Amino acid sequence: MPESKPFQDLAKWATKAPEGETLISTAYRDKVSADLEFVEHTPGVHKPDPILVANNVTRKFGGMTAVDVKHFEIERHGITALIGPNGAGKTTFFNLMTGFDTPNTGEWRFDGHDMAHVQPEKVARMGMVRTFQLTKVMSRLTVLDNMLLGAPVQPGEGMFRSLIPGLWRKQEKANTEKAEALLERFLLIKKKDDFAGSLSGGQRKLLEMARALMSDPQLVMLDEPMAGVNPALKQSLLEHIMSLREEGTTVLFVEHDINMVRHIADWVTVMAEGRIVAEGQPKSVMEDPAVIDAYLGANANIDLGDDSVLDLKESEEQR
Amino acid sequence: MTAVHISIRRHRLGLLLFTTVFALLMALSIATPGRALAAEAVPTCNPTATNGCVNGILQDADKKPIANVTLKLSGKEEATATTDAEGKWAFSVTADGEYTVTMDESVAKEHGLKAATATVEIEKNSFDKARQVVRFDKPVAASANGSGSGAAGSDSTAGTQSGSSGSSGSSDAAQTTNGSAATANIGKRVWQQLFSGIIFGLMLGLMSVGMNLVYGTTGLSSFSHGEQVSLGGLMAYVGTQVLHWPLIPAAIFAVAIGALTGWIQNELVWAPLRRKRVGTMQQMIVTIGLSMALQYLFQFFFGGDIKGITKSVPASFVIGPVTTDAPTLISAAIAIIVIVGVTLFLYRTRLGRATRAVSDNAALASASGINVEQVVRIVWILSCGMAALSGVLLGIYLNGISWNTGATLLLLMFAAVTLGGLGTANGALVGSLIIGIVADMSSLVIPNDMRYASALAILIIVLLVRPQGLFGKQQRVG
Amino acid sequence: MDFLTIISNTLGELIAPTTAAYVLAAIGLNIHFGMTGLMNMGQAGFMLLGAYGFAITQSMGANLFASVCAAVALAVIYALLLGIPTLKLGPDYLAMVTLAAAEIIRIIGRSTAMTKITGGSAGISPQDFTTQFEGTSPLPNGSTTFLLWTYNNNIANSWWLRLVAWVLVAIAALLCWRWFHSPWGRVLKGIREDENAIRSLGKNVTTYKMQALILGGIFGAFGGIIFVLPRSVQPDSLGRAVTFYTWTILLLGGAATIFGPILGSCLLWVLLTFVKEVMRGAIPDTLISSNQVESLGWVIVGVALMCLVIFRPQGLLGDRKELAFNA
Repeated sequence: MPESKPFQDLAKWATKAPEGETLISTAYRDKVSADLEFVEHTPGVHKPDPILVANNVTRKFGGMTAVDVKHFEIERHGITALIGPNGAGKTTFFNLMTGFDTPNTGEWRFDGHDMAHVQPEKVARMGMVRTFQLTKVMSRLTVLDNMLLGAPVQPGEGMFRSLIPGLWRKQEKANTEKAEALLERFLLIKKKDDFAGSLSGGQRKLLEMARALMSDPQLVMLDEPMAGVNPALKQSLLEHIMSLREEGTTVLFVEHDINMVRHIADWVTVMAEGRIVAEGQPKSVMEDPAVIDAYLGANANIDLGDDSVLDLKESEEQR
Repeated sequence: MTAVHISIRRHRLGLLLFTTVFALLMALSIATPGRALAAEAVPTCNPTATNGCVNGILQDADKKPIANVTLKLSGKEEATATTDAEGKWAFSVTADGEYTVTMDESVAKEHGLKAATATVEIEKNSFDKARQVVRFDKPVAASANGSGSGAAGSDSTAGTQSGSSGSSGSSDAAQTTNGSAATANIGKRVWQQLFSGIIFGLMLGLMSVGMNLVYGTTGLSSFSHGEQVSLGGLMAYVGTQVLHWPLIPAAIFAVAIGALTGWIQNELVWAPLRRKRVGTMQQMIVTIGLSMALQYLFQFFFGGDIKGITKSVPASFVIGPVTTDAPTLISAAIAIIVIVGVTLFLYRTRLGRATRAVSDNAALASASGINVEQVVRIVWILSCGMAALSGVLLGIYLNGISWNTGATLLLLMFAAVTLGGLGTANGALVGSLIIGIVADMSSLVIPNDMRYASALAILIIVLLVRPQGLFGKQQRVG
Repeated sequence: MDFLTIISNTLGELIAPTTAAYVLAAIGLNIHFGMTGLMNMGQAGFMLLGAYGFAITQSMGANLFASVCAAVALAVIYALLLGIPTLKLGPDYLAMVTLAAAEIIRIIGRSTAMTKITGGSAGISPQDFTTQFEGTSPLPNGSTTFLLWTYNNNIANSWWLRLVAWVLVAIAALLCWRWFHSPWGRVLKGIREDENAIRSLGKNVTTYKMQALILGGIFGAFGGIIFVLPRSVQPDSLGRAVTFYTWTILLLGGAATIFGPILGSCLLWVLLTFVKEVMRGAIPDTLISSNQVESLGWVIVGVALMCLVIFRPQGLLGDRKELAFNA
């Protein structure tokens, strides 16, 4: 059942290290590095302690195969980067894993639980939380309300209980404290009473990530967390991601910036045309001819930077 | 800020112009509110909440009008009337119940009529019994059926009864839709209902294909499409009855007006809203407002009664198991030709292919050099023109059109469009045929006044089983 | 036409039971649309079902409480039947299905085959279902004049009905205020904004939408009961037009606000009555008949709805930034 995590009180974590100060502990980093050191650099390789295991997951849109993953594992407590050219099926793979889309074939397990046909909201409650490539913030709710929606426990979210404030005021206060701590950490505290719609693109990315962390997830799946974030914030975002690992949270993220990936990832998985073409530790993967080929291949010059164009392409392919 | 102001001002101007144009168009007609408190003879009778109508056109066996014949109304209320030069006569009655109309036996014989009396039942609150057309072309025993409807007019939405005085009296088994139909030939009724279902489906198709094109290209479910249909019928009425034009120029006039309103409303309302990036849900509520405004503008100018486009009573004849008449077949043929034409346009012409490309994906189409606004403009013109045409055909087929005919049909259009698959042009046609046939065939098993409910129930069932409709594409959720 | 009559008729609309009935229906619609973003185009269906549920059980001799329960139960069942197939689909589908379903109820209700139960198109007359309600009145018999208005205390369009109707409105508004500012309301607003985001945060979106649909439908059913009490239950008087009026009211007052439905309903009816009364008084009958004045009233509502949505979609009380429409 749920893995005992040594330290995952995010509220405490968020207030622990003042802004700008790097966390000292590297316990999980060292452990994961050590574990992955002897793992072979081949696609679909088995890992010592996987949190997510996927087998034969395929998704077809019309005649085109968007995702065809034979075997894939994510190492617990590690930061795994998923890279690949645009249209490689990364976002579709995210959708499949989190229940937002149903694969044509395949099964996958999260922490030992079979996840096929599990509704997205259940997936989230089991501890696998995702963010979206095209940021989804509730524009006409305040930043704080956005955060509070991420809180996993709130009895006031029942229709009848909500009528009696006594039943939920205490929890609301606790949730608000946690939310404010996270907002502080993500430099959004000054905006907490503004509508989320008034935030910049980068700030929305931060808000979405902070919101995902409200539920202390075991695995966060970040879809291009750096896109549109200004360079100054980028550095602190990277530190957030790294410190997540030290809290025992497993991170899977999609990213295009190879330097960034090299800097923080423990393991890199490369997708192209729906398949996993390479896996390994950052340094070696970047030199893999399959990766270079995938990036400089036919699709290299097409910019499919956002979801809308991706959806476009997919709907076109369904025909 | 200035840009916003300008666009808002343009809207105001647009709305104003739009309503003015409509008002001017409708000012051409004169409202004739006719009301009566007890049974009385009137030149023309229109059913309202307080009165029903017993009327007809007295014709001899050769379809020549018989003038100056005295007719006596008896039953719940009594009155007498004299036929006018066109053979027309009418009684306005206030009480529900059975009425018998009698003429002099010798007059009937002289003109070769089969009967000198006829009995009908009036029910003011029932759409199809508020007005009864009386005919004297059948022997007394057989003519005592309630709905004096001739050919396949049984799906009259606005409650019109086609006052056909066909010469094929005894073969009209299909018309005994209510009452003592024990002797009715079930097989024949099935065929007759199937036939009228197909005809009705074709007309519905004409409306819903256009509606679906608009949905496909702009994402807007237009609630005012029904009013475009009414507009077509009413403009044809204006053409034939007010301006006294022949039918064909009047029909062309109606379609032109319909297409014109499509163009005008796109330019003045929808295009600016799209430019302002107003959401489709918001636009949909604008169409609701427009629908309400137009519908009651029609009522304001044309009154609450049914307007007949043609006065003549067509001769019905029998083809195989079904009874029909020439206007019905011609209407159906026109509907088929137009639908085939639109299909060819969509698949064979450059502009048509562009239209389909916009339906599939406006952003992609725009990126590949298609002028989306141009396409949408054409679609609006086409769709409103088709709606007007269907209004004209429907008016001829049902022997009249009223201010709310289109509104009654709107739901069936939605049902047809959803059934076929939102945004797919050919799906809408198939959906319409299914809805038309189901609506008409279901009256064989359930009460006639519930038959639209069955069509709408089908819609809901289909959504349960196949939410994207019969021809729709599955969409990626999430 | 004397001016005082116009004023008193017009202001009489302010407290009329029908105005209150529309407030209740609009509050329900506000839960659907303003809070959750559900496009319910068939609020009249909920109202008609509520009215039927109440009137039919009353005419069969059930007690008042049982009748209200029957009305609520019908609304709940109806919401479930509508919601199960459509809530997972896009907003267009819900709009069309609610519209179609409301029409089905009306068509079936007015059908001659149902005359024994629903009274067909003639409906159920007041003496069959209002006596018990009138009997519960604590007011003495007779009529009372208050300021400009004189109504019977207990019978038909009475002070008692006004009292009950507006107390119901007050309760509904209070409940709504509580819900709007609770975590539950926050989830609904979140769904209105982006249901996939809410799903990714572990909330069961379909359940919440269903709760909202049912709750708003119950308010609609109460609105239906109040609507028919001063008149008879006539299926055609609760048709599509009523839904569209309700939308106009909600958008006029402001969706996603507490007092929007109340302000919208009062303002719409007062203004509409005023315009119609003045037209009737000022324009000779030969030029525009009384029926045509009625039609013009509708045209005004239609144009008002269009203008509202285009120029002030947030309504009178709404905050433009917290607009219920999705851009």
